[in-house]
Amino acid sequence: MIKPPVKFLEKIADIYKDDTAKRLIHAAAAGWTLACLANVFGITTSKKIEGKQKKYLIPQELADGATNIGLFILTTLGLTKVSDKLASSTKLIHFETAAQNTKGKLLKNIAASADVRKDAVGGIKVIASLIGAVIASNIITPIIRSKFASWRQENALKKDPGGLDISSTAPSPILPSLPFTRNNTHHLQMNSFLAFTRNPGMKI
Amino acid sequence: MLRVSNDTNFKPSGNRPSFGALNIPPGMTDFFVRCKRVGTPTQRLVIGSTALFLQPMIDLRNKKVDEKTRETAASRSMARAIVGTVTGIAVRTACYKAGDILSKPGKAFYFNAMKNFSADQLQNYSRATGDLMALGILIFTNFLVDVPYINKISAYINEKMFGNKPADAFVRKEAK
Repeated sequence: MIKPPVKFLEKIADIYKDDTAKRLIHAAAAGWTLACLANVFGITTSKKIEGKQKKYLIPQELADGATNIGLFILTTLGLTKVSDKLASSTKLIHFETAAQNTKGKLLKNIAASADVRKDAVGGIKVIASLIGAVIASNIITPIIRSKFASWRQENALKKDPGGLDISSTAPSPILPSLPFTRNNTHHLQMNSFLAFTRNPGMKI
Repeated sequence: MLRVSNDTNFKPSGNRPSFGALNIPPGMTDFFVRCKRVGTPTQRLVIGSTALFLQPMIDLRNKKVDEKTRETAASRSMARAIVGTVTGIAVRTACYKAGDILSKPGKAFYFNAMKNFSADQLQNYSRATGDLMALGILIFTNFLVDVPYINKISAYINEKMFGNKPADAFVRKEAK
């Protein structure tokens, strides 16, 4: 069997054996990086995409990936560092454990030992890294990405109005919503316009 | 009338409210200790399950694009969360098992200094090797499993949830 180099394995053990939060953050960031590179590789080798489009798509994919990974690392590392500092401070947080007698009866709550405290702080860092991951990848990144995508659509429409199908990219509503009126959710689309004119139960 | 205090013991800082340290009860301490053993499959589950609700909400609230585009984007986000989570958890769990087996004495990932590791350190190390293997495998599953299933499931969600037929949803693709 092929054995990986011992120095590499020792390095892995050295970095991750005591810090679960660090492992979770690094694994997720590496996953995102590889997914981004795989997408770039897919675009580069695809025969269905023209050379002109590739020049536009590759930097866009790289920029998208860099934003995602950068935001993820910033948020998770920031939150884990803050939670580590707060939880490690004995002046701020006292961890307690239950003292029991030999029969298992609870006697009273006592201050946790240094080992338990260290593990509890490690657990808080893991929770902070999970919260950071959810905030970064499920809230901040999609908002930025959807804003960027709609900006790109508008720009593409301005440059080449016939290049994209208007029914899937129409950027603006027929009329802006006015005060004291219901929000108009029907956008400029030929099919919705036809449905609107044919609808017998039209409401004003 | 303004009254001036004659209290000579008055200290500006001493009169501020003092807050004691926060006491974490034993149950919560145990919960935090257990959280230290969370692995990447659980991380993927947390990120994926929250993505299933949050990302479609964000897509559906993007008023800069038309309704159909919003619905297509939301169904794609849901499909991506479902497929990515299922594949991610399956691959990572399998790789953790492989990492655990390969980190035992005499196996490929074992080295002599591991004799001095505690049980927690051994688990963290074997999981780190499992994560490394999972990263290698996930590059391939991304193309082989995720992409085709995301397309199928997003078309299904788009039709069943929003009533958009696949032909409507991919009108832009067909126009090209």
